This record gives sequence, structure tokens and C-alpha cells, in this order.
Amino acid sequence: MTLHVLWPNTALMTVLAGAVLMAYVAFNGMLLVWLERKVSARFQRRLGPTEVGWAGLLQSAADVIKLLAKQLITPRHVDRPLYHLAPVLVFVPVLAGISLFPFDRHLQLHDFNIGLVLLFALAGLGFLGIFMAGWGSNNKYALLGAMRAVAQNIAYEIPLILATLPVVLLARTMSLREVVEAQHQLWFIVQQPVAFAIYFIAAVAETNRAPFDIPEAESELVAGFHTEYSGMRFAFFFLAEYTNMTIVCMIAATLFLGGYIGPSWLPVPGWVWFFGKVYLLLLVMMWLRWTFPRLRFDQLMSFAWGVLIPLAIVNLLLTAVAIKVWR
Amino acid sequence: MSSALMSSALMSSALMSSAMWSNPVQWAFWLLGGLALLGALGTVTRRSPVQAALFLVLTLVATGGLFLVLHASFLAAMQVLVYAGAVMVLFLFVVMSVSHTEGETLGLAQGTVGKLIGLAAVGVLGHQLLRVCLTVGDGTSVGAALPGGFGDVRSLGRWIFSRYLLPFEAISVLLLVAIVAAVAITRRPPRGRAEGEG
Repeated sequence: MTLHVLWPNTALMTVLAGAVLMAYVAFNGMLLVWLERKVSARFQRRLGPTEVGWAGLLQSAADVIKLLAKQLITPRHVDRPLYHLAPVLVFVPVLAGISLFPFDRHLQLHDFNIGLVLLFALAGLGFLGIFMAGWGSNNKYALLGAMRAVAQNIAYEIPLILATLPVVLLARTMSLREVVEAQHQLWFIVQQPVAFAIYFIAAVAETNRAPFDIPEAESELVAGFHTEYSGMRFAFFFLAEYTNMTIVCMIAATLFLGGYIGPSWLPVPGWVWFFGKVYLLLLVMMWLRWTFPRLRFDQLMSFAWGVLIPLAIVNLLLTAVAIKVWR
Repeated sequence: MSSALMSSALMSSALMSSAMWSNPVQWAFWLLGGLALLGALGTVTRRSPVQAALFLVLTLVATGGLFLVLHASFLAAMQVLVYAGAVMVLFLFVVMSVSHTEGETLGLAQGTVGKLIGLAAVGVLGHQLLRVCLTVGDGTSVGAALPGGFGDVRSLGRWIFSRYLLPFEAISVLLLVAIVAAVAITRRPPRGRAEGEG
């Protein structure tokens, strides 16, 4: 295997880095929940959480304590192995995925030469967990939610991957670090605006966010695939969802927005640029959620198969031809 | 299941090697091969279709791990992405939409015909297994002969689009034919409006 170890060169350092990443995932989840509450409140002319901590910042921490203390209820009719395994299987790929990114020029666990493929492979595994949750719960709302999630996953994974391929063609690599390094002159969003748009729309759908939140449409399905989960098991699904949002935004920042690269005349470290771009994109995702109504299922499907996939294929072909002609 | 049999064949050849336990790669190989076999056993013995499918996922992921041990990292990622991810999601989707009554089981391997088919499959795969066992020999020396960049995207792409271009294109045409056929089969013939559309 062609591994390029950049930062942690001992086993101890790797374990430490893993712990830091886990802490970041937990912290990031709490931060995003707080942010979502604040953003949604502003959109609806409310204040959101204000009581716990400054500007309600500790509200999420209080919620975590509540979730930790909650009783774990296992309904009697569930398929036990599937039901218990599902939250773990949803969370593990997400945690593995976030460890692949170059946060800064010299801040990356491993630079796999197939980093991008690995990310999509992990994302595909996460959906197995959603399926297991929906099936194992033995509940019609959970099953319907899981079915919708699976159908949506199949439909939107294709434009998602197709939209990243032009970038791979331009950068001539699938290593995440080398893709970023190829953007010193120009961010790929300038050369590939269509691909970025397709990617971002498909990414919002892949993370089951509104306006594509049909797998857990509250008005129809209670809570979709995680209806039967309580306490920390529910929290794992929630955390995986918010981390997934972060991951798709990290991919977008890495592939299209120059990752850790910023204007070189500014004395700002690379990781600040990286996370700045990521959280800006996350804000856009929240903005979308509180602006658009939920799509109907047939609209969702025809949009993916009828609009996004053909557009992504045409864009990919044009890019390939353009590279052949001008290079 | 052929992948699991493959791994068991490689395993038995590795058994003969003397430096078996000194190498961490060997440990990984044994672990993954065992998991692949376990998943394969679960796939054919589970009564619930969903559990069988999930055991198949275990086999596929473990096989991906075996590819990793064999220095084919891109193939490993593709195995997980395509088989454990996309193909299994489709499998499960079919299972979900076809049967969701409790206690429903797979009825494929029952009856004389099913047993005969199973026996034939075992015969063919067993023959292949024996052949691999006899020709590969000591599995430890395989890694030494690898050319540089073996198994990474670049070399794989170069091979696919030069030496193996014709088989590659043939496979893609085959897949296209299969897709067109699937659409043609599932598309119902046009009927009167009263019956509605599927």
C-alpha cells in the first residue's frame, strides 16, 4: 500500500490523533446543533436557545447530559442484533471518513492515493447502518424511512461521484492532499462551477437534509428510520448525521474551494482557511434547510435521474474533451 | 461465495509456510479470511433474507481487506464501494420491497432440484479450489515479485485502457445490454387508463 505518513509517525501519536478526532466529532456535533437552532430561530424571527451559557452555547452540552442520562428502551419486537448494531455501523464509517482529510499542509493522518474513493466507500457503508436500523426496528415508519433513504442514496450517490470526477481529471490524482496542492493557482470551483453545483445539491440530498429530508419527514414518518431509538442510541444517529454534513462540506472545500489554501499574503494558518470554508458551507446547508419546503418523493427521484445525472455526465465528458484539446 | 473459497484456498497454502506467525500481514490475512468464511457461512445458513444479506456484506468487506493485504488498495476500496455499498444496497432494497412479513424465509435451496444445483456449484468451485491449491504453492513468496506501483490507480488504469481494453469494453457493453434488458422486462406493456400505471 502506498501510504504517505505525514504527521503521526508513531503508534502513540496515531492513537492520540484518533482521540482528538473523536473529541472534535463530538464537539462539532454540539456546535452544529446549537448553530442550527440559532439559524432556524433567526429565520423564524425567534431567538433560539438563550438561557444556558452565553447566547445559549451550553444548551447542546445540557442536551448531551440529558441524552446520556436517559433510559435506553429496546422495544420488544425488534430484531435485536440488527437493532443494536445499527447505531454503531452508522457512526464508525463517519468517524473513519473524517480522519482522511488534510486539515492543513502538514496536518493529515495518512494521505491515501485513493483518498476520494475511500471516502465514498465509507459513505456507502453508512447507509447499511440506516437500513439495519429501519429493518431491525420492525416498525412501519422506520421501514418506510429506511426504504426512502436507500432509494435516495442510490439516486444521489451517482451525480455526487460524477461531479467529483472532473476535479480528479483536472488534478490528475485522487489523493486529497494532492488535489488541494493542485489548486494553488486557481480553485477548481472557477473551472468547474457546474460540477460544484451538482455536487452540493447531491451532497445535501445524501445527508438527508431538507429540502431532501424525505427519509425522516416528521409530518409523515414520525422520525423515519430512527423512530424506535432512544437516549444515546438516538444520539449516535444524530451525531452521525451532523458529522456527515461536515464531511460532505469538507469534501467540497477540499475539491472545489482550495482546502487549506488561502491568499498567501494573509498571515492566517491553513487550518483556519479549511475550517472557515467548511463552516461557511455548513451555514449554506442550514440556510437551504430553512428556506425551501420538502420535495415530494417522485420530484426527488426525477430530479436526480432526469436532471442531475445527465448534467453531470455531460459536464464530465466536456471536461475530458477540453483537457484533451488544451493540454 | 467464490471469493470465500479463494481465501480458504490461499489459507491452506499459507498453512504450509513456516514463517506464518512472524508476519503481521499473515495475522491480518488469517483474521480477514476467517471473517470472510464466517460471513459466507452465515449467508448460506441464515433463514432471514436480511440477515443473510448482511452476512454477505461481511464477506465482501473482508474480501476487500484481503485485497488490501495483497497490495491492491484501489481494488479494496472499489470492492467496498461497489459491492458492499452499492450492490448490497440494491439487494437489500429488493428484499425490503419484496418481503417484509416476519418469519419469511429463503426457499431457494429446498427440494431435489435445489440440492442438485448446490451440489454442482460445490463441485465446480471445489475443483477450482483444488487447482489453486496445487498451483500457487507457498503463498509467502508472492509479495516479493510485485512490480512498483502495483495495485494503485495509475497502473490499474493503464492496464485497463491498454492491455485489457477489449475485455473492459466488452464488459461495459454487457452491462449496458443487461440494463436495457432489465428496463425492457420491468416496463409493463401499455394498458388502458382504468388500470393505472405501475
